[in-house]
Amino acid sequence: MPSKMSWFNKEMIRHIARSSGWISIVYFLGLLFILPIAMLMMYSNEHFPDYEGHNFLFQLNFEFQLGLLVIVPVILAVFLFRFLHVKQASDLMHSLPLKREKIFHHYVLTGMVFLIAPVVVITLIIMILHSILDFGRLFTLEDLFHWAGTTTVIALILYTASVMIAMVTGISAVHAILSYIFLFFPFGFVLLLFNNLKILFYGFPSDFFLDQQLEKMSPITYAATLNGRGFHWNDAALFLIISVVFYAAALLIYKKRKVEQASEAIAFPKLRSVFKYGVTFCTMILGGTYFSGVSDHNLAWTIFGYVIGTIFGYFIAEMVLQKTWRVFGRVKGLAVYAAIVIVLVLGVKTLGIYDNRLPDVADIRSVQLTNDPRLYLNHSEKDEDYNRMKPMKEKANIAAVQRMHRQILADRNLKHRKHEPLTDFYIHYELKNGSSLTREYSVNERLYDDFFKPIYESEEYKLAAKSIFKVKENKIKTINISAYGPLNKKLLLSDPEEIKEALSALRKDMLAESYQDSVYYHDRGSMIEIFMGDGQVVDAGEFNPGYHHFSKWLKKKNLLNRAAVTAEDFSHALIVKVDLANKGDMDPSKKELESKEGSLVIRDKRQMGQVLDQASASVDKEYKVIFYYKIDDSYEIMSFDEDHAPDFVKKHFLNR
Amino acid sequence: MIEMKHVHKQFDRLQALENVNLSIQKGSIYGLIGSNGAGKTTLIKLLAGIYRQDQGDILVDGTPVYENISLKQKIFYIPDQPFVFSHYTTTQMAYFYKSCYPSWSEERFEKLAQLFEVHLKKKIQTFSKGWQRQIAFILALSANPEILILDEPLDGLDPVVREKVKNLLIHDVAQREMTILISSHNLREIEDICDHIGIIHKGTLILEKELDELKSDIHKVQVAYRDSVPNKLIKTLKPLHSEKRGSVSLFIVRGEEDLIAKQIRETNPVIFDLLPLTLEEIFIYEMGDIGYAIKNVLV
Repeated sequence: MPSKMSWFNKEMIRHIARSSGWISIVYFLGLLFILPIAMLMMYSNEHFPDYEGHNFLFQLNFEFQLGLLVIVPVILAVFLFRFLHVKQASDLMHSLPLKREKIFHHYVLTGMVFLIAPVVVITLIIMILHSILDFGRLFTLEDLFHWAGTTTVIALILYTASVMIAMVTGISAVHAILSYIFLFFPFGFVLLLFNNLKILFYGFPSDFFLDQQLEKMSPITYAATLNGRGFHWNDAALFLIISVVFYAAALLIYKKRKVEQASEAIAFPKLRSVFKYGVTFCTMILGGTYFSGVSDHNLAWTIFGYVIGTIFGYFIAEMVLQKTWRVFGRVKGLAVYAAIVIVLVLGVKTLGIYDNRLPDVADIRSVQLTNDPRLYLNHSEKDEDYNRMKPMKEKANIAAVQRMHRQILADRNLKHRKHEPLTDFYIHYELKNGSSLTREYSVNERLYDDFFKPIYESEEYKLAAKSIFKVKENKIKTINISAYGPLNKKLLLSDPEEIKEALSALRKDMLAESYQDSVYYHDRGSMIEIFMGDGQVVDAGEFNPGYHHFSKWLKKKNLLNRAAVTAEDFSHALIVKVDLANKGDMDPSKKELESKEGSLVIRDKRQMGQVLDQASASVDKEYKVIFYYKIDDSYEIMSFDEDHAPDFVKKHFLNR
Repeated sequence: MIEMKHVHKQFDRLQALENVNLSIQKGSIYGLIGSNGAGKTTLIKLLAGIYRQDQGDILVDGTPVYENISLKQKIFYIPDQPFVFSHYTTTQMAYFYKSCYPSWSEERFEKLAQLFEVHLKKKIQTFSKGWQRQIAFILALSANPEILILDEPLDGLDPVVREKVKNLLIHDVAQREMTILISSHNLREIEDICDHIGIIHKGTLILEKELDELKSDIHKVQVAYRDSVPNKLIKTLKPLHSEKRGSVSLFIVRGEEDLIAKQIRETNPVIFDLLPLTLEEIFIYEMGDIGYAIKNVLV
């Protein structure tokens, strides 16, 4: 009479509830204390934070929320599928006249209810609190549903992933550990892999790849950043789809799984070597990355890291698989693995195909050269991306970038001094045959000044790289100019006519700016931000003392004093000449400077203005100047070099 | 009718069963004998649909067992160490089985519980091992299975309970034509209830016989003569085994009882006894060398 047996087996659900229902209760109690009770405490203390935004519910005890969110789904899966991992329980369950599908759906779906029910009940409680107490200022009902939805979606993906892992392993402890490894895996592995490719291949653009919202690759890292940002519905949809895939995959694996594999670490014999060498590979690159990092890229230590990582990983994997720690006799696999890795690495290194690849100028269609890894990719969700560097197509620029690239390759064995300032350069070629080439190098920019200068000073580069040339005048809402320094000066231009004139003056200045000036005046003057009509904020560079057109326009409008620090802001200035050969004089303190003999004090506005216009923010110049502000005892130390020294300064120090 | 045809089963590198052929008639009690590690449990779990064979067929009434729900509803398996869900009482466990086995009889369950005097509201795991086994029997028989598969079921039961259980099993076989597969490492333990015996050794089934047939077919003969044993007799009897203790000769002889007696009497022995063999002896003589190798299994 099989038809009498309904698909839905109440006793089985009762059994599942008896064995794992407590997790749901604990989850509920945890959430109850973390959210509604904490909110009531806040209410009774009349201690309401000033909060605006949509994330209040996540920010409330976020660490605890995150802890529960990450732990509960996995623990639940571990307890639910414990019956697969205990031989006797597994035998009993599979001797019964129940199809595996039926067992699976009953367990997984009941577990899902256990997982979601606490969130639903808490949501209802908070809804009630929201309606009777004055929480409207902190969050809306929409925020609440958003919280509930996000929590559920993330819990579901963690849970289904862990269910899938349950089918692959035969030991509950291994199940829990493998679940987290699996969930972290995409994030950690990509991170490690790219960092290692950087070690292996000179010029591998790992930061370029790593800068692409890596935290989305693992639901755990995604959850860990939930308090800081919104959750998008397309992320939710993606997570739900992945959850369904995990669910289906888990069922498929379960049907293939052999009952006798209970208490084996990996339930599928063919997966065991994948597991073993997978673990070995991961610990190898982990060891390499760690030792490369802590030894400051020392090659010997890095290799040591790889070797130690390999040995550790191999034996740990063996221990897990063999379920004993006495596995040190089994070294054959390790030897084979090591041999393959060595041959591969040596092969790749000696051939040097990747490292030495430099396209011919004739083959290059366009090139981008920038310091910012984000700049290649248009992953801004807005339509227009003002920061992205446009490709350059002029022959001269292509040739110049390629020449600079060639020099960087030639200098690859150059030893960098400690604390030498290194800049990341990203080079991206589009080739005529349709392929592309991306490289990343960390070098001392000063070594390549001669190579970069002609590129920087070309019109094409400025139009391609500087965002100010890419914004459309009629879409600008305001231009904000904020002066560096303690005075918090801010000028806001919003009149369309003024915007048009300012923009044209700034563009002229930027086109005319020499490479030397851009380096010399770096970090000086005022910051320019352009607020677009669509809410985007464009970083448009700096207004520095070399920008004559713009300062002239500001003066004409009588706005200069609001947009930049001027001589009017200082009471006096003190100039000291230091000996740069003396290391201690490189970056002296105010006290040290004031105690030096032979200093020059100026109070004349014109002279102070002259010095201010010639000063650099960098420390490696021989003349140091302290500007004393009129208010607050504030001061600022700058420096300038012989070439930029005004005559009266030179004259003063000539006689010393 | 249960059949296994050319069944192979391997665990990683261990070949647990090799080319096993077996058939069990409906309504019979089949004893599966083998030493530890011979493959008894593997064979049983394959029959119970827990394991899946690597090769061959396992059929009940002509259909495969694995993941066959309507078939498995007629099969009940009691493992060598009875296992129940933790913290479950007998009643709760009964509810659970009831939800799985359509043939479950509540009436039978209550009767059996009374007969064994089981405390139904006590957690099963707090019972002694022997009691847990009795509860397993109660639950199994309440499900009214057509096939009952028992892995070393009588271990740890005292003689009184053992008899009680055996009687119940025989009763069900007689009443409902239930088929029983029962395994043991000890032939003596089950020889009184089995009608068929299979002996498994190192993963292969080396012998499968009906007990009555075995017992009627082989005899122990003790004879003594004034002189020596007539050669003619030895030629006609063709003993499987012969030995001499003083003047008494001992033969193990195959054949019909009356015929053998007649043939011997014709030679006028001084002493003549015709004795039945114990099962153990039968196997040892039947199987020759292997018999001696697995002698400990049969004791």
